[in-house]
Amino acid sequence: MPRMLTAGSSRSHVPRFVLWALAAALLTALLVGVGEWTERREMGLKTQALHHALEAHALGLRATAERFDFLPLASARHPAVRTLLQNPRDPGFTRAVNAYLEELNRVVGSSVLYLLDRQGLTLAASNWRGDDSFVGHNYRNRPYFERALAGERSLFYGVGLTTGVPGLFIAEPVHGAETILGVMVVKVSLDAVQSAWAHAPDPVVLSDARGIVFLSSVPKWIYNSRKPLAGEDIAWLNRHHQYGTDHREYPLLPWSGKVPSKQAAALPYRVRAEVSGARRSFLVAETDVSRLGWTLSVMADLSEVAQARRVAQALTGLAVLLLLVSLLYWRLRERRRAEQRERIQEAQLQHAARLASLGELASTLAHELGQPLMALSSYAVAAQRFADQGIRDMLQETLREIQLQARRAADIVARMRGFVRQRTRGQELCEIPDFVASVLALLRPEINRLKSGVELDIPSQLPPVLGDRLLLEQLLLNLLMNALQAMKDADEDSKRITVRARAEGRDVVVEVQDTGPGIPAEVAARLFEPFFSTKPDGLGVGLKICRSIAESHGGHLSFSAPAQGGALFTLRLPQGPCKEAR
Amino acid sequence: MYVVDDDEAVRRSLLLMLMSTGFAVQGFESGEAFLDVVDMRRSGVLVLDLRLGGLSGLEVFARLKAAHSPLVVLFLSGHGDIPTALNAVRQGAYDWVVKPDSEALLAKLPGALDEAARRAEALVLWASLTPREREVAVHVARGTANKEIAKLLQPPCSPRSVETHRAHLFAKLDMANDNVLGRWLERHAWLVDVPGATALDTAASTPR
Repeated sequence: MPRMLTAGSSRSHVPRFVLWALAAALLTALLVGVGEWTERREMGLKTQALHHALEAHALGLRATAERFDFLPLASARHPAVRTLLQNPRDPGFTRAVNAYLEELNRVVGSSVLYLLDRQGLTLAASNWRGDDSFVGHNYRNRPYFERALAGERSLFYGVGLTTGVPGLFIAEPVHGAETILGVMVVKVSLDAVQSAWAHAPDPVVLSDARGIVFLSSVPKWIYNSRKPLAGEDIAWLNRHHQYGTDHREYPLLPWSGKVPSKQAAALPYRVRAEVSGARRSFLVAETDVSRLGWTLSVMADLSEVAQARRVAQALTGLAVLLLLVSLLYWRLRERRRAEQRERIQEAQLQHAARLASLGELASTLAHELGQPLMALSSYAVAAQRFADQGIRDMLQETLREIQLQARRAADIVARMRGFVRQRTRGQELCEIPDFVASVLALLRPEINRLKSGVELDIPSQLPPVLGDRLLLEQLLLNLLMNALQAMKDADEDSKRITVRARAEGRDVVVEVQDTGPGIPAEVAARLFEPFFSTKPDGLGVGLKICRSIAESHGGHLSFSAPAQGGALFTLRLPQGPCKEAR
Repeated sequence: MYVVDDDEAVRRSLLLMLMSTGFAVQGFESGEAFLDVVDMRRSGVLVLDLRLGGLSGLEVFARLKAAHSPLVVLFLSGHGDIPTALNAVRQGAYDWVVKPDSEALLAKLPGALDEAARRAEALVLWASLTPREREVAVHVARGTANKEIAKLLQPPCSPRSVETHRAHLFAKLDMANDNVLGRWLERHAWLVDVPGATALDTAASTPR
């Protein structure tokens, strides 16, 4: 019993959806991983850039703030200053110091340079000519004055009481022989810094030791506090009017995230804040600047990082998609090629099977062809005799017979030729009685030789089927030959093949039943497997081909064991398109 | 002369050919029809198709043999059936012709007709013997000694009466000695039961 297993029947047992889920999980993991990696990389670059920006800003700030560090001390060295402090009412010295301060201020470019006496009264100022001249104003309450009077050089950032313009105040005590005579103050504007920040792409914030923002590229944040202020701090601020008389409240900075309250954070941290109408994520780096305990915060927009992450993910997704699509395309093409190969192989196999069944019929066919040839040969001899004897009418009769027999032989050859044709004619409307009759004609000698009866139960009014007539004939021929072979050893009187046909719903059903020994169940189960055969020299393609022919016509071929014994093959084919009623 | 072929065209063409050649021929479409109509005891030539519907050619031949018919059988066979035909000749058929060679058939007919004539003679001679003498003749032809023959016969008889039968049959058949009788019976094996006859019967009843 030759048997071969075809590859492909042992496909993996993993269900499809598990594979899909696995692929989806893999893709998700890949996207997340790529996103993470990109974000980390981008974040690293961002942090580096941020530190550079921070350094630059701190440098700029320090340069501005410390540029005039020396100025109070240096200007206080002028003898006229001391003299004026010792003789405050002297108009001559006043004029001289005013002129000196005005000149110096103009040359070095500070905001205002002015001199206070021990009571905080302004004796001379670089802006003595202007409307907002400090001269005569008392700045006793200013913290820088208090500290300078105590003997220390002091720095203070605040809003000017006279001008209402914020600035950095640097105060230096003016020492006499034993006592402090007065205080020299320079006010430095940080406008240049702020305007420089305005050009920076990302926000820059400067906050004081209490956490109050006093300089920022985002104007809204100025005089916001990084942390809730203590009552005493507020009292101090109000008392000293550090940030002018209007700012009584210091709302919290509208940053969400973990904002370190006072000290500059060592590591960059993230916040979310609204800038120019959009809520954005920022990375903040901070550093302490100057001795005032200021904290400079430089922010970097993280939306670029998120965007880079999204872009990387999108690109990865696109790449995966592309890969997938090309894979699919490749598989599709492979499948189409395989199908084409299969079709060609199937056609070749069908042809081979036709030849094989013809081979099985060969001796019968040779005998069948031998008959008309024998008759021809004999008629020819007879014709010769009649010609010799001059019997004209018998000669003519014999010649007519010769023609008949020649046609008979030609018919047999044509029938065989039609059946061994490699190429089929394709789809046509086939009348069931017609093709049953032509198959029976081909098989008639074999049926006679094996002495089987044939019973037909085919109504003449059957709807036709659309299909390849040659293939359908091959199918029926195979079934009939199987039936004949099955009954080879059966009792002569009981040998009978029944071919029935009927319309059933939208199908036409053709049945072939024999009275042979039937097919055992274990054989029946494998009947349609390729390369399965119970014949010692069988190829095992016959029924397989029968079924594939039936299926390629949108039909089905099945086997059943009728109760009365024998084998019953049922061919079900869809009806062809209805022609007009004839 | 008879022709049995179930193919009407073949039968008719053979009849026409044989009649136009000058033979008296009778055609039958089946073995059964032939056996029904024809007297098997008369000699003649039978052109018999191997493949027949109903009784096959071999079966018809087997019936003729069983009846010790003197009919000379010439088989018609296709190319595929040559081994069967050859086997039939071994079993006592006269010869075979492969279709579609009508000339070969014509060529073989005179010999067959001669054989038919000889068989007719042989049948007359054989019929002139008594049953006992025929039995003795068969044994003598095999070279069996008189004493042995006396024992083999049913019912047994004395060697002397065997001797008498022997003398009678030689006189009737007009033969000189045992060897001549042996050759004659070998040639006309169809007259007696051949040991292989039963084997042929079974072979004929089962289709190839």
